[in-house]
Amino acid sequence: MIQNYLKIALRNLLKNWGLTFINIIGLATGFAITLLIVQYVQFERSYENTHLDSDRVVRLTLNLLTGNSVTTQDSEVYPPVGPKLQAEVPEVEAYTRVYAIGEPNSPMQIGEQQFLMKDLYAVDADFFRMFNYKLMYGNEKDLFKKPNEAVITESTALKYFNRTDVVGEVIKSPGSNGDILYSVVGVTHDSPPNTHLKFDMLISYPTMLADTEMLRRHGEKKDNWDNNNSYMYVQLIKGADYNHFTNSLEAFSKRLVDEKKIKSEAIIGQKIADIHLYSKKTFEPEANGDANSVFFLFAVALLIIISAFVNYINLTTSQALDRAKEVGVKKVLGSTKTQLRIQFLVESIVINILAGCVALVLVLIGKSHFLSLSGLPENFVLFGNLSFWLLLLTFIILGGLLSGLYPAFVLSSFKPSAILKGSFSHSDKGTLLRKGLVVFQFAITIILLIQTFTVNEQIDFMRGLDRGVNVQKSIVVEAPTKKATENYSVFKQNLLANANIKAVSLSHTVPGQPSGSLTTTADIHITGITPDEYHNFYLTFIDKDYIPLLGVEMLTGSNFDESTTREKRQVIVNEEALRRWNITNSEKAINNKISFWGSEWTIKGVVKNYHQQSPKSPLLPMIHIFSNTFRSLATVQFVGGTSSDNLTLVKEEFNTVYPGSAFSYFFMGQEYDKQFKIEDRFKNVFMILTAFSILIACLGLLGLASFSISKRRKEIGIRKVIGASTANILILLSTDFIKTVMISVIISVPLTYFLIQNWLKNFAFKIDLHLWLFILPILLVLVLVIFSIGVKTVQTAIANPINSLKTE
Amino acid sequence: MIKIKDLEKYYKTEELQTIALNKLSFEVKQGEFIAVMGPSGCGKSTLLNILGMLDDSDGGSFIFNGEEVINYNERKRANIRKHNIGFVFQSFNLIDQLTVFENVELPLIYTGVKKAERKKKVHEVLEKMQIMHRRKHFPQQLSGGQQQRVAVARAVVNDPKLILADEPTGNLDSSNGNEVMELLTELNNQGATIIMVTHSEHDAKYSHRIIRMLDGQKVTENSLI
Repeated sequence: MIQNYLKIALRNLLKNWGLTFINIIGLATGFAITLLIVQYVQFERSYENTHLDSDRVVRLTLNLLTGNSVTTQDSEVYPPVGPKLQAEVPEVEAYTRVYAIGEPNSPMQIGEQQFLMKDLYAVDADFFRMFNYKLMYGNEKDLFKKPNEAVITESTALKYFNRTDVVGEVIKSPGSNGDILYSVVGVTHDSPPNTHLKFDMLISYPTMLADTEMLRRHGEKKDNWDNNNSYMYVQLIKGADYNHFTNSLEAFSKRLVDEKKIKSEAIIGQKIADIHLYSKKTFEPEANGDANSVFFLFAVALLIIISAFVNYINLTTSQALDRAKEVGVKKVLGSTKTQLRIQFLVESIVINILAGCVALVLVLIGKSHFLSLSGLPENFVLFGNLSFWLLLLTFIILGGLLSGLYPAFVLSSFKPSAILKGSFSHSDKGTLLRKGLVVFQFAITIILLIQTFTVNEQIDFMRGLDRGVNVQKSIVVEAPTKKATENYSVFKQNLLANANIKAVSLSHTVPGQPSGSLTTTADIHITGITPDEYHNFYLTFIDKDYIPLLGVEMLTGSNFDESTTREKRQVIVNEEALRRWNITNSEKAINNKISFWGSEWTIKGVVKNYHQQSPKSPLLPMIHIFSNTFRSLATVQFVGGTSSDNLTLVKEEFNTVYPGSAFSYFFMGQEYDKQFKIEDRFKNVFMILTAFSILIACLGLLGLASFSISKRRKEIGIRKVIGASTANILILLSTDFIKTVMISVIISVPLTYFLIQNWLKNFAFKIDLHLWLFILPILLVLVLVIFSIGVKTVQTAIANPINSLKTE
Repeated sequence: MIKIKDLEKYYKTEELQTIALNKLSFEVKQGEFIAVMGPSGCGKSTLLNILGMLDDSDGGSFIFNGEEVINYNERKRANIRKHNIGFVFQSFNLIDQLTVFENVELPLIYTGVKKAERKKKVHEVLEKMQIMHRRKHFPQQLSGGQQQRVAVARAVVNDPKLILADEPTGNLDSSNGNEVMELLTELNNQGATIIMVTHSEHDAKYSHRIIRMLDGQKVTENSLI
């Protein structure tokens, strides 16, 4: 019997191959996109789930306040916060400081091999327990109690030692004033991809306070309440009430203010599982995800799969007239309703199985593209994931049954006498539902399309904006590991001797680098004036060539010059910094004294605001401090472009002056553009989703068109006999669908307006919402609508009316 | 008014060709009332479809009002049709979603008659068919006889020169059937040419001339007047 069902099902599917093809493609696309999105959503929600007791681990962060309102949320706090909190609040069982070293990277040396280490942190011993890192090699007892200990990951060990058992090896951090030696005491597994805090190497926190060279480099000291430069994690005791802890933390902050440890600031707790999706603070260790986007994606995935099934139902039942005769004859011949239903169900399940197979192929083809698009790790396990297969199986079986049941019941319930007499016609039941679903699908499509247009426009706007700084035609060379300062003038002179090189400048950071590369200090004020509010000021160290090289405009005062020395304590500030001090006239700012870091500094010049960061961020209040040492970056600007010849030239000079040091560089323009990565990804995801959404919505419309046209075949025949032209019929049929789509427009436009306004709030510099951003997508949708119903309507409109009026 | 000569029509499937009309020739004069009779499959409906310019022929000549229309394209044929020909079907073929008034109004819309003029004409024809009181009803709310009267009203609202009727009483009981035949006779008396396909000898008696067909050919032709 089953064999018979299968045979008939396959024959039917082959006979209506066009419809079968549309059905399979529609379902397969829905399956594939939903499968991928669900995997992505699962991954985004899985952050920190590899850590035991992750619900007891809390990150402490710092809010900067003006009165009661929060001006800045910083993810880093003062290093003594942890020990003090543990001593004063009984719910805190353990703490670890996590101090980022050498942002963005630190020179390291193993034997003669030199390299730059990224993601290096100084941590306390409890770090390993709190984040569940077990040592593959090394002794966990007394781990990180002493200075100059290091733990590296398996990958780091393999990369630099070609083996993993490297306990006892020594890694050197060279420096012009002296080296720091680390002895490897442990090797641990790599950080999982779903943690916000990934590392290549860890060093013992006592190094920060005990190693003299380390002290010199980072200025860390016991009880340092000057710089909030450390991440801080605490573990609460088992069964601790989080709300109660929050209250304790509030009281703790008040005590810190009373004790004059902090001013206008508050320590805020944050569960680590919430960091990836919900935290949007400054100085995050890596760019976080966004809960809203993840939820939105999930909702879209759900809609896409529902749409795909609904389309299938629509298309199948629209065939009812064609299959009515088959049903009628079978019933007359003695087939029961149940047998007919099984027949239709088998067809539905066969289609769903085929769609599942096609979906697998689509996933396979789109996988790598999807991974890079969504930002998932390249080694993300997809096909090895049980949930992936379970979901696919659920789609096939549940989808097959659910989407097969309705057509099965509708088609099998036709009355044979009515069908065979020819007086059979569709009922109006469910028309509203079908229309409703199409309205819904198009509303989603229009929302996505308008968003895509807006996102695109905003990105173009940000890229095209005058940033007040020229990041093109320059490469940035990272400081060598040895004697950089000593030979720097030689390096610079050698480079400048070359006609292709226009300028060379030194700085601590360059525009476009993460905000973490800047130093921040809140307590900077005009000498003699006690500030009534605190802001983070951003400090960077530059030489006299930095401002002219970057084309930053001097407003008043003068740039640093030959006579400038560090000891003169002169600074150049920007307009935004003046605004924070309520100075409106930049002329008046010159020679004013400001106080920070326990000293007085003179304002030597004021520069026009420039976008140190992408226009997404507000302008930073910048303070430029003079420094003439090559401790981090050298920017080389060329007369022409950054050609490979020019690059080779710089590399050769570098190797001559700093033999044995690793030559590491980046293009300033490219580095700057990396900031648009999140928006670019957002745009790409939207574009893909929009494309699929359009495809599925058009299939839905095709389904509705087939259904309603099959219902109106007789009417159209009559109209044509009476005198309607093909154009009359086309207009008649299209207006109906266009009306349906216009309802979608009415629903979606206000909603999109709201969504976009909300999204644009993320940007300090943003586009105005022009009318065409809405009109163009709507027109595009209308064109697509006409196109997708076109074939069917034209077919019907030009058909010979006598065929539809035959009653015999 | 109509002159057909050697009219041919084939229906082809993959394997065989069926001849629906086999070199059929006859003439219809203005103001005539013709009944076409014959067994099922003899080509009556095919003939009516070609005369109504709903279908192509495969050979022969078809002169309508002095014009050779055999090679006219779809658009030209549709244009002649909507100005000159009215149809009455066995199964009425009213549009269920439209009211009686709207159904009758439709041909006037397609010939571009102005709204006020349309209203006047529809009212006139509905009065004439004695169905005015039902003008706001939908077809399902009417009896078979009433539905056919609406269909006839729709067929004549444009004052067509030719009315083609395909078994107009086929779905009606005898009293309603007679009523419809009376109506057609009256229209004929007012000048309309009528060609009617029928199985009913009783209905055929209303006509002036009966053309009997078999296998796509004219067998006999007898005048009743």
